[in-house]
Amino acid sequence: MKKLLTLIAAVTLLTSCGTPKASSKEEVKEYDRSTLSVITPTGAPALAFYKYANQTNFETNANPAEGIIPQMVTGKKDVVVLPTNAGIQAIVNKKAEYQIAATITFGNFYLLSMNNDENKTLDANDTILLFQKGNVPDKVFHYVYGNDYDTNVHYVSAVSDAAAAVNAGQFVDAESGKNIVPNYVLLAQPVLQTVLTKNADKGYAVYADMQAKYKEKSDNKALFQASVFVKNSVNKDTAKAFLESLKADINNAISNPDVINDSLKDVTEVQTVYGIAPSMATAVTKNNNGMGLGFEYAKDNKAAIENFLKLFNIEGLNEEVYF
Amino acid sequence: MRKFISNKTILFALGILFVIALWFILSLCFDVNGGIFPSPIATFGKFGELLTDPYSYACLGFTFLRMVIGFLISFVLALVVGIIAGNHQQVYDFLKPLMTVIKSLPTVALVFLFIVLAAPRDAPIFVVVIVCFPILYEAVAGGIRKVDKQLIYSARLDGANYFKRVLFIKLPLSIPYIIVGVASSFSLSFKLEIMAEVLTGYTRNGLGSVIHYVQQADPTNLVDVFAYSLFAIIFMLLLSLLEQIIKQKISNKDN
Repeated sequence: MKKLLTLIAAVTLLTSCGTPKASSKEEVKEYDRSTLSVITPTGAPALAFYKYANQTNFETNANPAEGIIPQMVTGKKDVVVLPTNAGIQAIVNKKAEYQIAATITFGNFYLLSMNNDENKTLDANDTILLFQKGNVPDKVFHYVYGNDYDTNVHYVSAVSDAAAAVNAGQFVDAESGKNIVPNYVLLAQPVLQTVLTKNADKGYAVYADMQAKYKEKSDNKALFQASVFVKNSVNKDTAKAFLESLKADINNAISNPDVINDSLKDVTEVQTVYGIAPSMATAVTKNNNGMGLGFEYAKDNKAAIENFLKLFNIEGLNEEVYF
Repeated sequence: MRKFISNKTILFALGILFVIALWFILSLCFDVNGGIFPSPIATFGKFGELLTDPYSYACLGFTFLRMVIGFLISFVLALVVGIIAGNHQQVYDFLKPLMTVIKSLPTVALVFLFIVLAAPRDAPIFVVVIVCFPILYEAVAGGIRKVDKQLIYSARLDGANYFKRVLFIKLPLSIPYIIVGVASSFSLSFKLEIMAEVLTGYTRNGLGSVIHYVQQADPTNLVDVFAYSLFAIIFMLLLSLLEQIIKQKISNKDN
């Protein structure tokens, strides 16, 4: 009897030794990337999905305002990535049935000095060129520097136009129709990298890292620029598995940017889908995470998100907005 | 000399040379840095690279496929509705306001509408359907309406029923009009497809997607934009050449 009890105890012990392995396997549930349909703007947010290039349920769009917001409002995709303010506005104003789950880009804006400012300091006498009037880049600039420089602030519609102005050394002012030489130009990565490479001999340099300035001014709260919105009807466990998988992918890319190039280099249409060449994306990420990639759950960062949303006069968010 | 001038092939070749010369002059006048208004030399250089890149053919193929889908849907719809309207004045009058509205709708508004109703991927197909439909409808209905009434009356006297009159007399006699409608809307639909691809921001294979990307990547260098456009133009020229050859073979066979 004693022997039998010893045998049972030994078997139980052996079995229990094996159990934790099995249960831990269950906890780290592998997410199948073909499960949820995803749409994201090209550029920095798209890069977070570098492992989705060959998924048919993964789509990017080069015109987020026209191509993504309507899909969010009509609930066509399980997961939508948008500038945080645009997504929240779609939820609040257009009753889009989504929740903000996480933020995946934390700013990729840089103020470029054109090496033609005599006192080398940004002041009210300098001509400044911004892009996307009324949108994130404009709001961030004004949040950081206030309105003191507005007399010489000019706008172009897109970052590509700002880059064109840097390359040409001047731009045509939309209001006066005159050619103007800027002293400082706001740019976003990866365009900044291209511009600096193209004009390497001209002494252009980054004058300010806008996300760092934003953080300084916001009690260390980061710039929660582009976020992941999950449709309310998506199974919560599936959504959580997706988010954990995305978090792992992003952290992996930040710690080892070469995985971006390795994952995307053989994709034929990679440049149009991601809006950037994989080698460039890797180079910019290696340069102090220039694309501003990261992963933070929205619910744990409400204060930072609401600080960012204040730029757009969005306040008093309902708790239900958060995933 | 007169024989030389009236030779179609020579005139066509001279026309091409004129276009290239005009392009070269415009490029000399308006170009700033070799990219704002690229010269034919720069464009043909890039075009040569595109010819050896399988991705260019994939883009062209997908754009053409989507265009053909849109065009075929439009053609079938126009054929059905056009036959009915061509045979019934009341239907023709009833549909007139609708056709006027469709024809007058700004294409860009259609693109935005279909992004919401469908998806960025499918919106260009619907744009092609809506824009080509009234053109093809007018061709079919107009062709049928122009068929000699006496001929129809005689067929009726000979005992041909409604369907026989439509299928074996009216439709065959309206084919020249339909061909004109098809020819004018086919190349238009190709241009529309590319433009709609740009506006929707769709990023998978497509000439519009790649043109949008290369423009965004460097707006001061339009060499790539011109080269992809040339790729589309030459493809359409080859298609029209094929159409000419087929037409010639058919007419030779008839003779």
